[in-house]
This record gives sequence, C-alpha cells and structure tokens, in this order.
Amino acid sequence: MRMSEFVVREALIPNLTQTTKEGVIREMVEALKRSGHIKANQVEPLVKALLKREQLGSTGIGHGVAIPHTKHESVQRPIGTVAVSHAGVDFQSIDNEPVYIFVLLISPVDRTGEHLRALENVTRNLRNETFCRFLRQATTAEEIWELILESEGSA
Amino acid sequence: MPQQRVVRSIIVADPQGLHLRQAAECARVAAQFQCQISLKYGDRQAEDCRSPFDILQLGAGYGAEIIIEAVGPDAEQAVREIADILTSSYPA
Repeated sequence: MRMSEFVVREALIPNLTQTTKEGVIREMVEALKRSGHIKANQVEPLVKALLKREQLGSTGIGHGVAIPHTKHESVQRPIGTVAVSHAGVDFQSIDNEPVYIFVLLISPVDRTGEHLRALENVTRNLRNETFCRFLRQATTAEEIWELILESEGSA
Repeated sequence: MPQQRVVRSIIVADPQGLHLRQAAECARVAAQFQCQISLKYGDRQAEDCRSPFDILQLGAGYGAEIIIEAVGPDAEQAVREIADILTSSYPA
C-alpha cells in the first residue's frame, strides 16, 4: 500500500503549530476530522489510542522522523496524514533527536498485512535523505503531496 | 576478543508480524553491540540492524523466516538478544 493510497491529501499539515507529542498527535487527528475522514466523536478515542501506543515506546525512529500509528475500529481502510514541524518536536525518539517529519497511520483492526505494507512503504520513502530534506523544506500541502507522488514515481 | 560470525534462523512469532516496535527495539539493542548485524527475509535484506528503517523494509509477516547474521567480537550475544526480540510478541 503506497503512501498516496492512505495519506489524505486534504489533511496534510505543512507547518505544525503544536510543539508537544500530544499536541502534534491531536493536531494531526483534527486535520483528518476536518477532511471528513474521521467522525468528531472519534477524535478523543483516537488520540488516546495513539498516545497509549507511544507509551509502549516512541514511534520516533530517528533521523527526525516519527510514525505515530494505531489500529482502530473507527476506520474501514488505512488512512493517515503527513505533517512537518519546522521548529522540531521532542518526541523521545530512539536517537534523542527532535522530530521534523510525522506520518500518522490509522489502520483497521483486522488488516495486519496492509498495516505492515503501509509501514514498509512509509519507511522506504523516509529513509531517503533527499525526500526528507525536501519534505522539511515544504511550506504548502501541495508541495508535500507532489513530493509523495514523485517518490512513488521513482520507486 | 576473537571475531565471530554467527548465523541463526528464527520464525516471526508475533501475529501482527514484524512491526515498528520490534524494529525500534532491535535497532536499540543492536546499537549496544560492536558487531555488524544484518537480517534477511527471502530476497530482502536489512543490512544494518541499527536502522529501524532497514528492518521495516523486510515487510516480514507472522511466520516469516528471518536469518540473523552477526559478525564481530560479540556476535553470539547479539544474535541471541535480537532473536529474543524477533520471536516475542509485542502489543502493536
């Protein structure tokens, strides 16, 4: 499952305003709600589930990247969004460095295979330093979307 | 300490497959060893077990056979610890 297949274009955030772990996760879930992909009454349960997952170990996997994720009954297919923080966020990453790029992924409870393939594709893009550098420089949602499409075209 | 090359095959035991949590844990543990540790699943290879990015590229689901290979003075202990992680179930 490619990034463009689960990332919601209308929920991309080129300039995160929040600077804490909970704040960032909430801002991203709210963006999915505004785009109509999550119901208003699911925002809190989702934020809680994502934070609970973070308690098991940060999804900040180094190189300025974090992939907050959960499986949740409120979605019928994997959905997610991408957000960029230009200031950097302390996410308790495994390399103790701030996080600049966030990919949020919410998968249906029973779709383990799809979830793994989504993670596989996200990390394929994010281990590419050029992709991450351009992503961090993006200032509009359109730029983020173009970068995602471009990275898949060259895959 | 003499150089060692240790190879071991394990089966992914987590019903959710090899997900981000094990990948991060493997990377954290691998960074504590001097030896070079790689993982192989079919024709896919994570050349550096210290990179969660590399490990997640394996796309290894439940029941997948993974070959762990370590080369270095502390290879035996490293393979044991990585194998423990990969054969455990972690809440996703």
